[in-house]
Amino acid sequence: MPPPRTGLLIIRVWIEDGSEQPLRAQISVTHDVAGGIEQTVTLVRAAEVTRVVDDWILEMLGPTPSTGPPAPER
Amino acid sequence: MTTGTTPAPDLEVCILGTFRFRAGGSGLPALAGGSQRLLALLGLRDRVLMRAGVAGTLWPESTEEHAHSSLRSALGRLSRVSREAVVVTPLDLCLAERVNVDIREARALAHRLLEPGAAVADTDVGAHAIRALSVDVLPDWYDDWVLVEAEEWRQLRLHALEAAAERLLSAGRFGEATGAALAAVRVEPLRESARAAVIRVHLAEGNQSEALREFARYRTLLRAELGLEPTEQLHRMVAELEAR
Repeated sequence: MPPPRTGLLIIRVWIEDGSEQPLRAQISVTHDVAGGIEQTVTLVRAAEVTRVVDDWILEMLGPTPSTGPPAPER
Repeated sequence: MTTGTTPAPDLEVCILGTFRFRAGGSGLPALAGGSQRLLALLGLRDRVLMRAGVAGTLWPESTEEHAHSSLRSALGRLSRVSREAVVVTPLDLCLAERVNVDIREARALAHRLLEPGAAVADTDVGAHAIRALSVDVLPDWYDDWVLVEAEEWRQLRLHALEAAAERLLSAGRFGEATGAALAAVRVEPLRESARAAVIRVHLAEGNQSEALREFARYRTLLRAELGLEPTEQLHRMVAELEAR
C-alpha cells in the first residue's frame, strides 16, 4: 500500500485593470507536499483555471503522481 | 557596580524565511518539530491562544484527545531556554513579553509605510527594512495555518514595498527607490504596478534608456507567459520615449 500523501493547490488571483484580459490566476501545485511545490503557472482565463483544478484532482485520485498543470493556452 | 546577576538574554522567534529561535542574538540547538511549530504559531498569531485552539490548529487531523496529548508533548520537549519563551496556563498559551518576533516588527513597518501621509523614519525605508519586506513567512511549510498567514504577509509586503519605493522616489533617493521597486517585482514579476514603480523611478531620475529596458523586459515576459500586452496606462508612461 503506497504511503499517504497530501497534495496542495494554491490559487492567487489579482486583477490588472486596463488589461485586455484582466484576470491573473497564479496556480502553485504539488501532488505531495513532502516534495514542495512542483510547478507554478499564471493563467488569464477562468476556464483554464477550472481545467487545471479538475486535472489536478484527477491526478491526485490516480495511481501515478503527475508533473503539474499543463501550459496555458495562448 | 554590578549586582552579580546576569540579565536574561533577549529571546527571538524568527519566522521570516527559515524558522529560528535565538537567545541573546545567537542561534540555539534545533528544537523538535512540534516545538518549532508551536513557537511559530504563537509568533504568527501574536496573541493569547486557547490551548484547545492551538491543539486543533497544529494537529487538525487528530482526535481532540490526541491533539491535546501532542500539545503536552511539544511543551514537554521545549528546551530550558525555549520554555522561558512561552507563558503556559491550564487554559491558554502565549509568547512571553520578552520574546521578539520578526514578523511583528515587519508587519508594523509595512503598516507605517502604507498609512497615507504618515511620516516614516529613515530606517523604515532603509536597506534593513527593504530586506525585511523581501522575505516570505516560512516558505517551505505547508500547514493550513501557515499558508493563510503567509499569503496575508505576501500581499502586505508587496504593497509596502511599492509604497516604500514611492516614498523614496518623493525624497529623491533614486537608488534606494529602485531597490525597493525591484524587490516588489521579485515578489510578483507579472504584477504591473510593481513594474510601473520601477519605470517611474527611472523616468524621475532621467534614466530613459533604463525605463525603456524595464518596459521591454516586462512586455517580453507578459507575451511569453500570458500572451498579453502591458496596459495602455503603462504604454503611455514610455510612449514618448519609444517615439524618439
